[in-house]
Amino acid sequence: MEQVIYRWDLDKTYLKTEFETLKGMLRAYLEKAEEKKSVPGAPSLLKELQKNDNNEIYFISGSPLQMRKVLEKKLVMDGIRWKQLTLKPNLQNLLLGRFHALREQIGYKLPVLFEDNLRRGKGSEEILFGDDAESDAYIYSLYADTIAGKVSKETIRKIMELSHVPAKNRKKALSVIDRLAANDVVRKIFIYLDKKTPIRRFEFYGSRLVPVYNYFQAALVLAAENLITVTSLTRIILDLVIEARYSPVVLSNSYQDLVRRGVIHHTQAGRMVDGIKQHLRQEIVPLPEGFYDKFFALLDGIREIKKNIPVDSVKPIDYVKLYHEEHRKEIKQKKSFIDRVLQ
Amino acid sequence: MTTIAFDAMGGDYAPDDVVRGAAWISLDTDINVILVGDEKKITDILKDVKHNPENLSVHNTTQFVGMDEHPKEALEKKPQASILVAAQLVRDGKAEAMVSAGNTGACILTCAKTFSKIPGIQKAALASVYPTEIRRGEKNDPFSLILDVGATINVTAKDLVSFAIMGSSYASRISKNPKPRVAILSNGTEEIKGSPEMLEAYKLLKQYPKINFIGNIEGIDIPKGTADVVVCSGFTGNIVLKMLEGVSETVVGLAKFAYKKRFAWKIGLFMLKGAISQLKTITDWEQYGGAPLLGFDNLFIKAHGRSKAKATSNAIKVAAKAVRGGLIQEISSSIKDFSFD
Repeated sequence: MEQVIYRWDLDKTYLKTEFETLKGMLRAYLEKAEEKKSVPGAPSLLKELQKNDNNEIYFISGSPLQMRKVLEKKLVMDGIRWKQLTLKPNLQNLLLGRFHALREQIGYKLPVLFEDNLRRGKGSEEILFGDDAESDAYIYSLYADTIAGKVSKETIRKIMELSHVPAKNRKKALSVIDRLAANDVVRKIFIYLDKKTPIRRFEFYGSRLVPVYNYFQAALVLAAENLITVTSLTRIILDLVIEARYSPVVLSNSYQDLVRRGVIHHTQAGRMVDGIKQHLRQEIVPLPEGFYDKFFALLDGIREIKKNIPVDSVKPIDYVKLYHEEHRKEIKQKKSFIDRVLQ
Repeated sequence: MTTIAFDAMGGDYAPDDVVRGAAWISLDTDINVILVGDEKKITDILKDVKHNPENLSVHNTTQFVGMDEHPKEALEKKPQASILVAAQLVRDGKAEAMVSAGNTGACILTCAKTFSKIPGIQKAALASVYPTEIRRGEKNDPFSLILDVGATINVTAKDLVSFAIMGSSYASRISKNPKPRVAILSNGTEEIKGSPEMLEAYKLLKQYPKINFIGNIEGIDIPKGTADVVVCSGFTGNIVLKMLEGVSETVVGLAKFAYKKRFAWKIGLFMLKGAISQLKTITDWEQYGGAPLLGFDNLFIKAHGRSKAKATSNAIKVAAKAVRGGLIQEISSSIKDFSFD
């Protein structure tokens, strides 16, 4: 397998974090590594990915730099190895009076992604993981299309201005874009639907971006793309069953959802069902009685859904227009955040 | 995890609103809902709403029975109709209960074709709920149960007794009312009032200690809430139900008329706004969701044809509650206990 770069957000993508309330934010900041909880399936998926020595794992998080120690400890406890963990200089933002930057993500993540892509040079494919709590879908898509040479420098300048990115940082990011060679390397963007945002809102990003409701779905897509083996997929299933008590119904419903949405073609889904069944039959892990029979029967039901993969629109994404739409949603979210804090 | 087969194509607002109702359920319960209907339409609706697909699946079928179709003809013409397929999923053990807001006749016929009767029960009864003056049970339930409201037109005394037993079981399991008061709807409260079947049923129920039989009631007692379970023939029940609905619609119509007619009345109604709104909440049929078709060995909850998302989701909750409460087992054992000889 060739080298693939996996970039992960942390809060709400890998870690179960609640920052919708002041109490939740404080807890996230104060809790120890032992108290932090990962999203079910995320550690086992990462562990399967790192089994391929060529793969590299990068974390980019909106958590403050001061949390590095506790976050690194948590990742070590989960058995995760990473190449880089980038955290946000929020104390600096606070001291410099950049209050807008405290919650703003575009001006923080986009330059980090550009710089890292430039540093790495042309080549490796990238798979990105984010969530629906903030603007990950937007940032990742914009990053992917910019490095692929599909978004102009002018558009980036405009978006950064709209995001109130300080002039110095803006200039730095734009100078990086000048040096980027067209590099269409982002293969998939996974958005973990922590808030269960309706998936229609992600449709205009095309089939490269896959909203997922759990990491079993992400693992299925990666297996369909031959980025993980069916053996790895089986181990992730077992982890979800044992650690997070996923039932046969939850697993098969999640699978059916992907087939119905046309994320995985029905013929491929059928082949993968055979693979999963074959691998699970060889497992000696004791599961609740009747688990395998029920799961296999439900998996066979997935074959009944015949769905083709929808064709992407050839129309390029208007990121400035989209920014305004995202911004409107953000204002609404902020309003409800203030309401919740005041409650 | 309770699995409910849901006829996604039945109802005035199907599939949009009923699918939305199922989507709500998927977010805040662990009930597994199988949406039976046009997969493409259902998936498209789900894309616009928050939902948790871990608790939802779709069983594809493109045929369905329309609200105005003749039930028998439609079911014969459409062997893959969503209501039939949903019932088959329950019969085959793939779901534990079914819910539909669709064509009532087709629902009853489907159950009759697909399910078997509970041993000891001759005829099925369709129940309905009605808001009353008093509340009952652990949940402070404002609704009384009326059965039958149209499934069985001609009844025998034994049928009325089995309706009483089934209604009592339902009220105790769903409204958490440990000793529901059961009454026969008659033309007088005296023991000697009513048709020969009703007189015989009266005698039989009086002798059965497991039913809290309070005797006969008159129509006036229904909204008062004198009984928690009102037993009658499908013919009578249907007339009563439609009459009650008609009265309620007329009252609303008169209030609207008064609102427009005089300014003073308008102010009066405005001042009563809070009380009217509270009354509306108490008597809101949408909060109940649906009522059961009793007598079969599988559970069916009929949601109102006008059900929107809220009523739909509540109907699914009622179905799950009935499954978890062991309603069918309760009815079976109560019927077994009762000696008709």
